[in-house]
Amino acid sequence: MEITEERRADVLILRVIGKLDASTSKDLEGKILGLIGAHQEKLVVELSQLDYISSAGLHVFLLAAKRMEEAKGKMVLCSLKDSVKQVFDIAGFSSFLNLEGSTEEAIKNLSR
Amino acid sequence: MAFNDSQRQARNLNALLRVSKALATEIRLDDLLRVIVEEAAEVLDADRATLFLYDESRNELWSKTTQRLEIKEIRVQLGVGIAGIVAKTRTPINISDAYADGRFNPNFDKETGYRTRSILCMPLIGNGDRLIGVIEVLNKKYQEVFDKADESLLGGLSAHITVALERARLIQAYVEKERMEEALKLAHEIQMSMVPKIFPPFPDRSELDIFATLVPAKEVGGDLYDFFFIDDNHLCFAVGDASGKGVPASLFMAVTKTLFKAIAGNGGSPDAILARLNTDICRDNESCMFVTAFCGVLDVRTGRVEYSNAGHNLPYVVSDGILAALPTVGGMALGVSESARFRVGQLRLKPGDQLVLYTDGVTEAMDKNDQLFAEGRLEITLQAMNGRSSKEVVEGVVKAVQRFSTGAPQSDDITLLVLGYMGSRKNDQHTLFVQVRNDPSELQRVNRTVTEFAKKHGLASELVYRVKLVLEEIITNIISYGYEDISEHEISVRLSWKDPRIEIEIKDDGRPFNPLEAPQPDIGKPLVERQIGGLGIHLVRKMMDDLEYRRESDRNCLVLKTKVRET
Repeated sequence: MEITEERRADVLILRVIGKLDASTSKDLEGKILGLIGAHQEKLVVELSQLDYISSAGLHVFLLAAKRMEEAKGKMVLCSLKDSVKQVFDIAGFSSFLNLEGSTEEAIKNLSR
Repeated sequence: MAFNDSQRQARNLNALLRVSKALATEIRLDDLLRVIVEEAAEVLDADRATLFLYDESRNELWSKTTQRLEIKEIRVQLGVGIAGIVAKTRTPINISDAYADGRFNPNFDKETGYRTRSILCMPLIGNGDRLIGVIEVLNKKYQEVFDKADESLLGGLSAHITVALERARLIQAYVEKERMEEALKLAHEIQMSMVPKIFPPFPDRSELDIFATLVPAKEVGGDLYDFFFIDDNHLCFAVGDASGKGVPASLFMAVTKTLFKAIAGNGGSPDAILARLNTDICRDNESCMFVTAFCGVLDVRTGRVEYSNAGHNLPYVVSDGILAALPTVGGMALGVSESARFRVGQLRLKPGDQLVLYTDGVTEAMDKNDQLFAEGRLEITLQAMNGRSSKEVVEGVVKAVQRFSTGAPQSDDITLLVLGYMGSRKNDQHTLFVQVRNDPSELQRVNRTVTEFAKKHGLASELVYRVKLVLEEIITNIISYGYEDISEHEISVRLSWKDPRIEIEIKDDGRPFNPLEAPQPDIGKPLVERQIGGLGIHLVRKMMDDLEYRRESDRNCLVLKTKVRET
């Protein structure tokens, strides 16, 4: 797994590339929790190049979503592949996570 | 001591009563005969009494019970000697001096050293004027001769004896019939316990369509059939017909079948199997029983059949709707001659071909006019069933035979074995085995191996995704929570892929854990109430169609099944 960052004004965009499984999820978890701890209040996680996610990856997003809420910030996930979206759906995550189709829509969502 | 007339009458009456009571309670023929002889001698003050029974089949009298002598059988021709003449003329004889009477046969006296003086002999005539036997009392005590009173006393006694004997015979006939039925039941049980009866016998062998039946005759005929794999690729099959009927036939059949399995199980060609079986049966075959048998070995990869025969009806091969008996290879029935030779024949079955093995109970079934079912009718029936499954063919032939012989008793066992060759197994199932240590880094190796396997066999990507996810969830769970120690453990994974289905089996020696019983996360809850954990098993359940868990001695065994899903 690889993570790249892009900053657009007050929005930070994280691109997660590759696989989010039991061995790689901890890296992402550390990254996001670190950003929240550093008061990053607007976060987009771009997943167009995420090929795979397991429950370990889901845990990261669940934990991140909780922390972000506590911190009064907002996290939006976008551009999920069907196979990844399917896992979110099955786990019931699609209902409480902010999911958008593209980075632009995600940024728009953040300013709502 | 002598009695006066009235004393004697009273005594005789009492004796009659006593005897008739004794006769009424004794139902076993042997015991009854003894009681009759003892009581007759006693009542008539005779030195000895003999009861002769009539043997209708040989037109002779016979006696087994003689008083105060060892038991032996005496046979007397009708019309010879006093007893023989009484039986023939059905008239009593009362003589005072045996040796002065030309009809007396002194041979028995000579043999036994006994001295016969007076004789009173009466016929026993039963229902329908049937001769039952004669009763004879010898040597009146206290006086020289048997008088009129003795005649009427023995006459009265004879009536009771006759009734008792007839009754005992009826009972004995009934008991014997019961015993016979018991024996036949036993014979059936022995026979039917020896043949395979579960169909399909090899559910995972797509190369074969086998069905067989054995309809035993009331008097078991000793038929047998069998089939089993000698190794992965060779099916051995046989039918046979042991000589004889009833329990002996069923036992002989059972012995033959057991030997056959033991010999054929070692492999070898059918002629060698029959030769060895023949040697074993000939040895110690004191009862001179024999068995006809046909034996074949099919290579399920190629359809090639080798066969050999021992005096049995040659099977038919049905190919493209054309019926033909297999070419003869000679061979005499097993158990006849130790020097018998067996030859081997060959043929090749194409996919869809059937071999029809049978016993003569099929072709020799008779209708009520004693017409045989014969090969002709069997062939017509088989032609008509062309293209049907083995089960349908077997059941069709049995039905045809039974319809043909309606109203006539089934005289012999009816056995049919149909072996359909469905073509060699398509190599369309692929299996992957992976051994995994309880180390999280192993997951990458599993992932790589599955990727390669999927690529090689063209698995759809959505399926590969689900398989990988399921393996990760389950193996992670086992590694994280399965072990109470810190030692190294092995987790074994098997994938079986047969388009469009895949089966995943995961075994571990960790603590018992049934994921099917794990609590389900409430996925409808809002974020703040969502618990972290329990998601993995939930995903597995949703990603797979079927989950089975069992604890195998000290291992968890989880089997997951799914198939390609429409995307």
